[in-house]
Amino acid sequence: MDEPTAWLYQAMADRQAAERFVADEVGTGRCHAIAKWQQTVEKAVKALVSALHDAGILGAGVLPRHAVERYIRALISLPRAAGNRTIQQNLHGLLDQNTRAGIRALDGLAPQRPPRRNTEYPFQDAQGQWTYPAAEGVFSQDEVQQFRALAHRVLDGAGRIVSAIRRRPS
Amino acid sequence: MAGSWTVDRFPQFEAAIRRLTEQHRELVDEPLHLAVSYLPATRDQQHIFLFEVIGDPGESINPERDLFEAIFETSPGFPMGPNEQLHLILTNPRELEIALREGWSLASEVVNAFRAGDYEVLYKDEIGKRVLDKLEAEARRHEDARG
Repeated sequence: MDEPTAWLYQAMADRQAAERFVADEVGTGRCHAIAKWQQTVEKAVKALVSALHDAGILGAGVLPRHAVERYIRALISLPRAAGNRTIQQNLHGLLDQNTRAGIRALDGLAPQRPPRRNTEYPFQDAQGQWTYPAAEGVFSQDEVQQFRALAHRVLDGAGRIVSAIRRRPS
Repeated sequence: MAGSWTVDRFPQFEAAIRRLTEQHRELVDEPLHLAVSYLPATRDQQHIFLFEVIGDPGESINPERDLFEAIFETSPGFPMGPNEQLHLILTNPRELEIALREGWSLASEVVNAFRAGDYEVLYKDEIGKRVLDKLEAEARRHEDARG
């Protein structure tokens, strides 16, 4: 197995785990599902970076940091070359404005300081009251659907582009 | 038909497309089930199309209801003229079944090329044979529907 495949497989496993959390009808699993979808997206993006690096299109490969936004910037500003044009178009199609906004929103739910609404740790709400990510109403069903669709779109799209990168004549 | 269409229609690409198909057979994480070179009637007639059905581990279905297409220009491994391009159409067996049932655009192009005889099977394994049967049946069904 190569590195891009390993990232894609782990992203698929994260997505499967998210589905198990979201099957909980009470809603206490929503925060965990959203955290898993964030990891799905992050690993799908890293699969793309790794495949482009292996193909010699992108100079740097995957570094030991989360920084999804930084990778996305690198992906949508690939060095221009005749052989890259289609891959660039596919990447722009996958990482369009809506998708990038969705990824930013998903990343914004990772724990950070000062603590605010996130998927892991207790935080104070807008009224200054302490609450926690698994509490009822912290994440809405609409958000769950939106992040689920985002994770599916990014992972499936990344998988297809990785397949095309592997198959490009060189 | 088999063994001659690519030579007749795209003699300049014959060796390169066979070599590329062989390279794709070596991708063990995404096993190649079926590879077909073809030419849709409604596209640029200088472009060559390679349709591949692969073992995609996620067996993903494109929510945008079309097959995935990547376009490649000249490269050392696949030399092409300035107006020539290689179109790679990728799918997996599960997605193709849905695409045929729902008449997705790129799947319909492949079926139409089958109906017109503008294609050549470059490689098929056991799964690929079953996929090919479905594509040929779909092409016959379209032909019968036309009368």
